[in-house]
Amino acid sequence: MGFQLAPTAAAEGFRLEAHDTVSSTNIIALERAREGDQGKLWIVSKRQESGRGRRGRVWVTPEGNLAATLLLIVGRDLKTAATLGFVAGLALADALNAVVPNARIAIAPDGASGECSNRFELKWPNDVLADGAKLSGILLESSMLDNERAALAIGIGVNVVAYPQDVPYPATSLKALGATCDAETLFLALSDAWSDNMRLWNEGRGLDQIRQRWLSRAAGLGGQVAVRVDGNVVRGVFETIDEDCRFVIRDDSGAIQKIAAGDVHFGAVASAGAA
Amino acid sequence: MSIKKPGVDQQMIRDLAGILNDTNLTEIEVELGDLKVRVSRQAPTVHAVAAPAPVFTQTAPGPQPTASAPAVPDVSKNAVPSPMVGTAYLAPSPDAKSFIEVGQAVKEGQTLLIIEAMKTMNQIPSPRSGTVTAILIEDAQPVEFGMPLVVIE
Repeated sequence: MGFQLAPTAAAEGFRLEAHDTVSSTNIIALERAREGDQGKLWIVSKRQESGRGRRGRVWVTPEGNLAATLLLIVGRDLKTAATLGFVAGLALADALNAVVPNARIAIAPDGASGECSNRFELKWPNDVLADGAKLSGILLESSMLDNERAALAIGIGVNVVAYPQDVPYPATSLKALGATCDAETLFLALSDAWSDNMRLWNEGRGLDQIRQRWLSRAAGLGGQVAVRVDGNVVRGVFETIDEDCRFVIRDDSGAIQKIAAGDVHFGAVASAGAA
Repeated sequence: MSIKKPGVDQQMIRDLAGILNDTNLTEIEVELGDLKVRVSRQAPTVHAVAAPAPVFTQTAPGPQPTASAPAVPDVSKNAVPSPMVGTAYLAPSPDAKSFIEVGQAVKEGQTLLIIEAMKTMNQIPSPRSGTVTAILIEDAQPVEFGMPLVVIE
């Protein structure tokens, strides 16, 4: 099976452009926007040769992993558009729950109720973790097209069959977790879950519902964290995310700090060098 | 004001001091070739500057006479304001070359820098074609909405 959109996504006007190899699905998406594409366009590729993460970090996509970018054309209110990163994390977690069997009972051996812990958790701002290890990377890039409109590329990479060994954090893949689903199946579920969550987001009007859903799946809530903000490290307790989806930390002096950009590390010994 | 090299353009420093006063900025740094000039209105603390280029620091003493500086560029008009709150980056990654340098010609739409907010990397385009005459922020600096980032003349 090749890449296909979920019927729900196609019905809402989403389109799909599938490739075998690209430089980066985000780069292709931003090119399409400059060429006049009106957005709601998914770009997927079997391989990515120069995928990237935050601050230019390399994101490797060997064949079998998922590299997908959704292009949206948004208004100039990029602050609202940026909250789509939380929609992306949620949509991916929903998709994973849909395609990975037993996702919800993996760490609840008694299996007593439907409220047992989720295997897939969200790490601020929009990583998806599986059993605490990094399973995916999400990177949003925007570029103003004119005074009124911006192109927003929402890049979603998922370690389906392979994960990097040489990274300073725990990483995993669906295959390593024992799941047999392939990138095409996961993309189908992702395009479906995206449509649902974007409808809930409702141009930002539903952000509070997105925020509540996100918090219900947040990793490390109430625990010790260290947040690295380009050279400085703030340590304390992860309290919540605020109405603008900023990371709220109560530092060791008891003061509340709200962080809009940074790398989160769980545990009191999180090292500054691990960023 | 200390001047350590003959032939420095004092008028330029006066002009920069004028801009500093007109705009209420605390600091402006301009690079022209191997010459780097920073004008600051803070207490005369000299920050370490990584570049080996000669550094001139001036503390602007209160309001400057502007009559002698007819060519003062209008920073409020020519500065590119930050469209959002976030962290500004001058290069695509910590090891990469900066998007722009002072003195460089830029085209309308060309990326000047990136502002990160919520892990969204927002490419900030030049609003017009022109020449970069000043970069008013440092790499990885937090920026506020409306804060002047770069001056394009």
